Amino acid sequence: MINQPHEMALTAAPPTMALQGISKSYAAVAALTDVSLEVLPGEVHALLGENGAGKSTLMGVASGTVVPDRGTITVLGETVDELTPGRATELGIAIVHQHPAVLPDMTVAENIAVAVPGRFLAGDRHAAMRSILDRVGCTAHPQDRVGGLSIAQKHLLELAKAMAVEPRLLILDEPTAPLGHDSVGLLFDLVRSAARAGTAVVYITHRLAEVRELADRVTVLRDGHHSGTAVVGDVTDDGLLAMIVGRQLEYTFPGKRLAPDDEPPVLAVDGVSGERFSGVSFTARRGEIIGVAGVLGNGQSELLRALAGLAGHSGSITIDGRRISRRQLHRSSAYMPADRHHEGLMMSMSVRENAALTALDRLGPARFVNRRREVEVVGAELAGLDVRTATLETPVTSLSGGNQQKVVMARSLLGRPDILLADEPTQGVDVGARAEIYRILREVSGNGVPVVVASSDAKELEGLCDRVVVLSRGHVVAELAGDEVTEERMIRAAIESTAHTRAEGQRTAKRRLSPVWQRRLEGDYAPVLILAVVMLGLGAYIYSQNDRYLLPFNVTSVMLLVSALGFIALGQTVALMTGGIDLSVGPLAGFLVVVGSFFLTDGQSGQALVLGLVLMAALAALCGLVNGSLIRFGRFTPVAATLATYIALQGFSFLLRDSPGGLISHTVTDVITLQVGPIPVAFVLLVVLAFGMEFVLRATRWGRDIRAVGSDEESARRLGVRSTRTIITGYVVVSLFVFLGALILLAQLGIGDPAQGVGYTLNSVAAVVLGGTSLLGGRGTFVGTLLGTGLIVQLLNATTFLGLSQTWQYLFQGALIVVAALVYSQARGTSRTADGALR
Amino acid sequence: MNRPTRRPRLTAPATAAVAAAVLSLGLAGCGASDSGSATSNTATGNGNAPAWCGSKKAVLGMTDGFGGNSWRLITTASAKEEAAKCPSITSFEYADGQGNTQKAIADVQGMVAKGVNALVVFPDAGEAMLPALRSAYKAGVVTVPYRVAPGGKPGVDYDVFVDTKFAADGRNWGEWIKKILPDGGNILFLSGPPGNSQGRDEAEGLRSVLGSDSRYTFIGEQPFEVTNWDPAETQKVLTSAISQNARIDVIVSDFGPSLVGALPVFEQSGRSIPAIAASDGNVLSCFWEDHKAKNPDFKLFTVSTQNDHSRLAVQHAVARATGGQVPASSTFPSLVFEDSTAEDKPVQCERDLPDDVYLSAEMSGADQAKVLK
Repeated sequence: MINQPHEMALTAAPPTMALQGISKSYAAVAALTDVSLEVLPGEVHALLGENGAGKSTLMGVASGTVVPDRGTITVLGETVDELTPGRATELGIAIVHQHPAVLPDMTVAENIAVAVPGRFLAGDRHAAMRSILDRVGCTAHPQDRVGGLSIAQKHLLELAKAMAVEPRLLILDEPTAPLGHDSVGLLFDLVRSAARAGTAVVYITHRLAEVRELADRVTVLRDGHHSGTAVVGDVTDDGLLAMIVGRQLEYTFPGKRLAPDDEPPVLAVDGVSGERFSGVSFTARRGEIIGVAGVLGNGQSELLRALAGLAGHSGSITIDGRRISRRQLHRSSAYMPADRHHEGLMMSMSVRENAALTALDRLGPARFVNRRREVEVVGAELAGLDVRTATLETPVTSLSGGNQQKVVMARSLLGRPDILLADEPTQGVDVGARAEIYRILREVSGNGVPVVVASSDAKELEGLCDRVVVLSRGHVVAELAGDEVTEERMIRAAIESTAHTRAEGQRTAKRRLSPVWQRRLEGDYAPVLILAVVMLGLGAYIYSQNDRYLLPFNVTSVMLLVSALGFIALGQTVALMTGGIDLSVGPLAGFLVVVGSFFLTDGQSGQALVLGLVLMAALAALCGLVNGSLIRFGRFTPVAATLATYIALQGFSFLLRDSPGGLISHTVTDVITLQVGPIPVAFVLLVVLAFGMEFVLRATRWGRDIRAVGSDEESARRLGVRSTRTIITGYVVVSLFVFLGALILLAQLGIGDPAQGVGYTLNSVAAVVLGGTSLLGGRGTFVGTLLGTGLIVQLLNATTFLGLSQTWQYLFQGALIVVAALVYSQARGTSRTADGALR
Repeated sequence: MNRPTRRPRLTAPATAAVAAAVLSLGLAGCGASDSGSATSNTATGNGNAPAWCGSKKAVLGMTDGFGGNSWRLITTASAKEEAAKCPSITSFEYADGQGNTQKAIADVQGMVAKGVNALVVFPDAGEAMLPALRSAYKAGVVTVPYRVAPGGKPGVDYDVFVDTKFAADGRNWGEWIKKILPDGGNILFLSGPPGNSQGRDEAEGLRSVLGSDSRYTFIGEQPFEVTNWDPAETQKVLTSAISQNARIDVIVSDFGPSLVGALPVFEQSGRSIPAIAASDGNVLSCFWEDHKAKNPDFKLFTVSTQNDHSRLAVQHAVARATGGQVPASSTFPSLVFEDSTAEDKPVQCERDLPDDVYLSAEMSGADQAKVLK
């Protein structure tokens, strides 16, 4: 509408970035259609639009994480053919994601180091980092584990990383959503000063107030189309609103109900607060459908979950005059989750089984289900909802999105609920099924069951609901009824809101220990210390029982045993660090020994020996390559991929030798088990490698990438880590370590035996876990693994020395692993899981 | 049935007989044996101790590649009982490799480090245990592997390998089959893990008797059906063999008790349980007694399962460590235990004792029951 003319004043310099004719589709759905955007140096350019209008996708294109189907990207007048996250960083494009791209298992300092090139951290590294954090008001300590930070602190860290690179183009995606009032002020100052320094800023928001306060120009997207661009001063709120709303609908709604005002409400929600929403009140009369509107993620889903009794709340909820507790709600409510696939359906079960779930106690006597009755009842309900399924036994996965949703509804209604809560009921549902779902909701409501619908689609709420509450940052900013229920009113309420998130603080307050000790306990090296103490204690005890414990024979044999398992466990550490696992290490070790037994025997020439070793190493590398490729290109889970190679390798071993054979030459064995005094050289090498890998892990790009990918692959990818390459090299490194372990095993067994080696798989995982490496990936230490291996072998040795029975041997090892897992996860806190739930 | 160490080439039953016979055979040449407790020969002036028990004090160690089934428990207890006969043995140490070769190697080295003077090893992993045995031998410990061949040479890698001839069991089964089925028949042979050396040797023994006679047909997978010595696996294998073969005349198994769960399948399909040639076990003998009347073809023949093999190994180890008289033979004999078609070797079923008791062993059934508890 109010386009071109005013831009002339600003276009003296070439635009920092120009996007031209960008289109992008996901499957058949167009996210962006022919969108263009120019951002000039020194301007703050706001990007407005409804949920799903395409703002985030457009910024994904600008920062290189989304590859557009069509269109050109120009940076400072030069066309960029292929923009990757790495290229974008080089070009000075920094993005602050709505969901921070941070790596939870790494420290604040490491997160900065991954994202910020070294030249910005020159001089006193610590001081540089501190000032980067201070600039955005982030109070986290550089050594804090990011997983333990509050959401707001994570966002500030994200902002700090972006600001630190002094970007040419800074993209902020709804940066104020998680921030309290003070931080918002600081953020605005930062944005203004960056703009003054010539940075082009794209500011994605839903709030007109922020647009007015910060932005020079504004671009509005609607339904993936460019709806208009204007100078902020020249456009009224109404003008902007008109650009935002006005989507065309291609489906219809059932008639609304005209309730007399004097009718008593069937549902009264009074001052209800819970996680991410507070002080919500509304009422519903018989036959009314209540809508919960707002920008996605402003507490709507949480409110519905609380109403369904799935989360706690304070305040009162009354249905038909009875006050209902959370437990009663849980029993008597029907909840249709937004995430149908994960929460709403058992995807591997049939339509009948899915639908019958809530009605089981009506379907037969006692705990038994009467099949005939089940088919009758479920069949009738599904027919009433017009679910299109071939038979009742059809797996629910084979239904369309709309029909799946109807199965969820059938189940909800079969349970004869007191209240029905539907979160985004028409997401991923085709047009025809939409109308059906609206009709059913209306019917349910007509039968006197209160219906509450949350939707990010204001147009949908306008058509469906009799009454709508609009949430912004967890607060009700408007309650609309009757004629007021319009898309425009809802969006106006949401975008004109100036409410801020309630300040957090509970989480940090819960910590009992002083921050310094907390950090130490959370540190990667805590397990190392704990293990060292346990090993010394155990050693001292055995020595007190039998003074032959420390004689050279025992020391040597224990060290050799540690070496074999140790190399393999170092490899396994890499696999676990990437968030995977390598089950094939045991059979690979056995297989390599069998291969070696054809070359490293008596009477072979020196060339044959070398050839044998090279072949072993090459086969190991190949195995790693296969594992990595299966995982990355074959889309196997690490367990499935390495289990496949596990079985294949065992097969190959038996193919090569169906019974033991190929005595290893004594010369070879002597070289491998060479000792200096009582210390085997192989053991020295193991220790050196463990510390070497520790250095590689902390100080090199590869080490950081491995941990970054293991910690949070999506974030790592957005930070420009090439995850596929990193993981495949990771698995090759695993296998090369197994090669070293296989050499020791070769000397230990002295023969090519196809049945050996398998036990290393579990032992290596046990050693790594004991050493404190997280099974979830992202954190751990090689030195810990070394000690974990030491402890396992020491335990084997101890059971012999102390003459413990078999039961003790099992118990001892099992208990130790359980205790280790408990202690470490306790020390790390549960922040990781808490975060996962929020994502 | 030294059953599942889930390694190939485990060993299992063989024939033994009643302990007295066994030991007197093993000790042939060192004097008389008084029946029952065997070998209480006082040759070296060490009180009432047997001849193999010298006067030098010694600590005896024993390591198992795998120790977690009834056969192993009885065999280990037998070794301990045998060692107890010699007062010079001040302590008996035992370690279980839990089926993990690494642990088995660590156990051998741990025993040496701990200071045992003699070590009896059940090297389930076979030749892979040789370097560990050698290091024990080199460290001056009397090292006696038994039952599973570790390769290597006596006097170089260990003191002596106390073996048994599994092929002899196979020959015993073969001779019996020839006797009860003179006109030939179909033979199904079940053994443990794929390629285990015990099963291979037994199959060879069977064939040396029956193989050249075309009237005898070996059915199923060759050289044997794989069961891993696991009763559940055995049941699976047997069930499918029964449905595939209209005629099975004799089933041969080197772990007799594992058959019991599967045999009723014959009765259910209206066929007689066929003749069984196997290793002994109380449960199998009692099963025969219960079912012989209704199953005309059900004849039973067992060879000793050889729990007492460990006793001979202990004698060899102790004799060398204490300065006693070394037994003349280092081969444990294969002996017939039961034959339902012969008067002199009646089937023995002790209903009061647990199923997994082996009446062919020297240790009394009641004592075994205590061990298994």
